[in-house]
Amino acid sequence: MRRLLLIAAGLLLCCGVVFAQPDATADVSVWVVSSIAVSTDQDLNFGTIVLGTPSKTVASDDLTNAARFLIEATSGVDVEIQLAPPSVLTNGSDDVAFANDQDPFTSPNSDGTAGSFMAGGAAANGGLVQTVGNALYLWVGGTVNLNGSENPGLYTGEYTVTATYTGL
Amino acid sequence: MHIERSVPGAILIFVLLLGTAVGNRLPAQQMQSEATAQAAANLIADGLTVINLHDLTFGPVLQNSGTRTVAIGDAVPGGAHAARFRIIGQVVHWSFFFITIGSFVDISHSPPAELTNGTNTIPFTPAAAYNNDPLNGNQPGGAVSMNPGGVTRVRFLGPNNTTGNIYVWVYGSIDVGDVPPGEYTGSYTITCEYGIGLF
Repeated sequence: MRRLLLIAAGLLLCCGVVFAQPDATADVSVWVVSSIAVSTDQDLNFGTIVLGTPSKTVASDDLTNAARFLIEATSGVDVEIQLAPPSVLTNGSDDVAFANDQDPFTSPNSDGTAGSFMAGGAAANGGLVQTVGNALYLWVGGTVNLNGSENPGLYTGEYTVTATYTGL
Repeated sequence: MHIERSVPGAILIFVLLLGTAVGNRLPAQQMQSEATAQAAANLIADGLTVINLHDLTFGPVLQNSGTRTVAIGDAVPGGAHAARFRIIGQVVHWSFFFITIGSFVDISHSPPAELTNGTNTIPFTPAAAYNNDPLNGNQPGGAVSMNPGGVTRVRFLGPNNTTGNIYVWVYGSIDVGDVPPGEYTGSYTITCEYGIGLF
């Protein structure tokens, strides 16, 4: 009998006594998003301006004349918008001043329905948007300011929009 | 000759002390069967709990972007975040000469081999660590790595006859290939076996 007790004690000390076996489970997840793409749908057009006119503005929700960009990205993921407007429009050595003074306008639809102005205004680079149905349209306008000394002609510049996923 | 007889005797006395100590913590209803091994086992089982405090999330990841790793300390809301479990049990230990017996948990893992979205998959390489520090156990800084493919025995530390905590973090890496966009998921289960043994 004593030998049996000693064997039992030895088993306890060497191997341990195991009791309950509860468990818990954690979900593991990743959200794979598609590549992001920005394309130009429409250029910003100030039309014809008569010399002597001090300025002309195209509002961002002027869907006919404002520049329109299409941002294609996975829905529900924050996309940071960076605006790089020109400071001047040029014609050879001549230029006219360009002011990036219009809040960008965004909409999930190409016709601007259900759209809204971006918070922070035109100067707010780094504003966040999200696509709906993997697409978002963004319009930008601006103002050209003339001083009366310009020569007649076509003045052009480039307005670049960059879209970047945040948190990736 | 004297030594050969005294050592087994000490072990036998120690086992009797073990039964007495456990029996003293039984609730009144179960005290009627005190000193039985079955009653002691039930008491400890009731005290062991495993809680999932947070899931493992890799957040949004660009398709075909390769390896994405979540580290133990990552805790970005909506982004990379390690999973964390809390194991709650009873701190029990006795020392006799050079022998210590105490309560422990054998922790085993059931990680997913891959995260899935329909028939599409992303390979998952798990990593895990624990911290049983009675004061700062919920901090990943002092955590000890553990093998997700094996069983790790971890002691409950702290004052005797108190509630002990062991925190377990689960993290790892995925390899995102040219898979369709969407949410890929899996389940990571840890199983705990509570016991008393020699240290």
